[in-house]
Amino acid sequence: MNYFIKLIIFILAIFLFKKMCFSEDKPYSEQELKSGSYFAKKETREIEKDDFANPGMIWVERGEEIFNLIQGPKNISCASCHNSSNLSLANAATKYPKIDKKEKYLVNLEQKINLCRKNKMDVKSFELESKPLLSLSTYVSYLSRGKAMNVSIDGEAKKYFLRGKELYFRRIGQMNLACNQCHDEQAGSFLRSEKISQGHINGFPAYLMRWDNIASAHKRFQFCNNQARAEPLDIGHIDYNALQLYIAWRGNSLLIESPSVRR
Amino acid sequence: MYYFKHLIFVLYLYSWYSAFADESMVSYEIIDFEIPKPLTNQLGDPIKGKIIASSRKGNCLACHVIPEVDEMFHGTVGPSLKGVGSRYNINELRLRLVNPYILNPDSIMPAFYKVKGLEKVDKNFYGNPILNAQEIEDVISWLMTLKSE
Ligand code: HEC
Ligand code: HEC
Repeated sequence: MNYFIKLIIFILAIFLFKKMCFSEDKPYSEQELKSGSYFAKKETREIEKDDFANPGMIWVERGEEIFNLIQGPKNISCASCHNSSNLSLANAATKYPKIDKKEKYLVNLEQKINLCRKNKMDVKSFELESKPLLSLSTYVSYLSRGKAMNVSIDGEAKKYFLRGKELYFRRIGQMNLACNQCHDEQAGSFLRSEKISQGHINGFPAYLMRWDNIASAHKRFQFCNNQARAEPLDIGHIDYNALQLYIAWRGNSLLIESPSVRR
Repeated sequence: MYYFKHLIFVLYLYSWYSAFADESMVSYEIIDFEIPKPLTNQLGDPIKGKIIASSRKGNCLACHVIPEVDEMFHGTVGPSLKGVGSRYNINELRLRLVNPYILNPDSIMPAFYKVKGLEKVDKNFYGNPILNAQEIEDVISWLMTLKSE
């Protein structure tokens, strides 16, 4: 009986909630879109702009080394394939996450790198969030620096997009917070000493000063989940990929800044 | 916006109901957007309240400017709490801490005394409210001292 009353009230609440929700899609128009560095402190921005001072460049250099390292039974490097113009990576990072044609599911750049290693080079996958993998993905993102984000949400990607959107607006954790409550409704406000940005990922992998380390977009999601005291997902989780797709899409046309520098 | 009032009413019912349904939490009643009865028998301690509000525990400074707290960074997500004790009575403040969703279902301000109806709570916090009943009483007793001249 108790259970029954609860259920009815709950269904009623959901129903009314759905009615209230507006159907506006992109939270920011193209003119309103601002990268995270716009909200960062001036000092931080200056470090990001200066390649000699930007600590993220260490990962780019390391990534370039691995990119050119000949390895495995086939005696090839990433460069062996990608130096040719039809496989150039000059725009690659603008399109991820993306449906992998062969695997038929949504993969992000780190996972795509691992797929290449496994399927094309016959070498072992790197562990997600490991230094060599993030070095590679930072380097590959860096190759697209200054190019506009341009992920696709059509076809197979659509269902991941919708899932990502759902997750973006879902309130979770002891703090009962959703991403949009900070990054759509409060961008520009201070959360204690931190200015809240629009929550884009055009700067990722990004160098975070608080950890003295590079962080993937998924790592940042975990961090925001932690702040809401919500159970984070594993890095590489398909739901995080979906979220990443939604966030990349809402920031489409922002220029890739990786490696960006954040507090 | 037409459904807004209905939604508030439904959520009101629900929270009222679940406040009674949970044994480990102190039950409370909401009347006219107030919680007229203290959650505990022990009077709130404003000195403790200030410490809770300013520390990571209450973390009110994350979102609010509170001129009476001598700290470097105050958030600007919510309104300043300057003079909040003159604007509200203690029963209104109790509702605002216990469950601000009654007033604004979309509020970014968390409900500090709520354990039901939350999703994906980190297991380190699961089943516990952000502040316990006594801590709520302490914080609101301190808020009442924040008067505008
Ligand atoms: C309580 C507020 C809050 C919530 C809720 C929140 N974030 Fe954040 N987020 C922040 C703050 C503060 C920062 C650091 C400053 C900045 O860059 O915005 C940040 C940073 C980010 C960044 C990095 C932006 C950049 O340019 O460096 C991304 C991406 C992000 N958040 C995504 C998310 C996602 C996805 C969610 C939901 C799962 C989420 N956030 C929920 C407060 C929040
Ligand atoms: C994540 C952000 C956040 C946190 C943390 C937070 N608040 Fe709030 N608070 C708000 C917002 C936003 C409002 C505005 C009303 C609304 O949207 O519900 C508000 C409103 C209030 C009000 C009503 C103020 C008025 O002038 O109407 C009081 C009182 C208050 N908060 C006290 C507190 C106290 C005490 C704490 C800590 C124990 C706290 N808040 C923590 C965001 C927050």
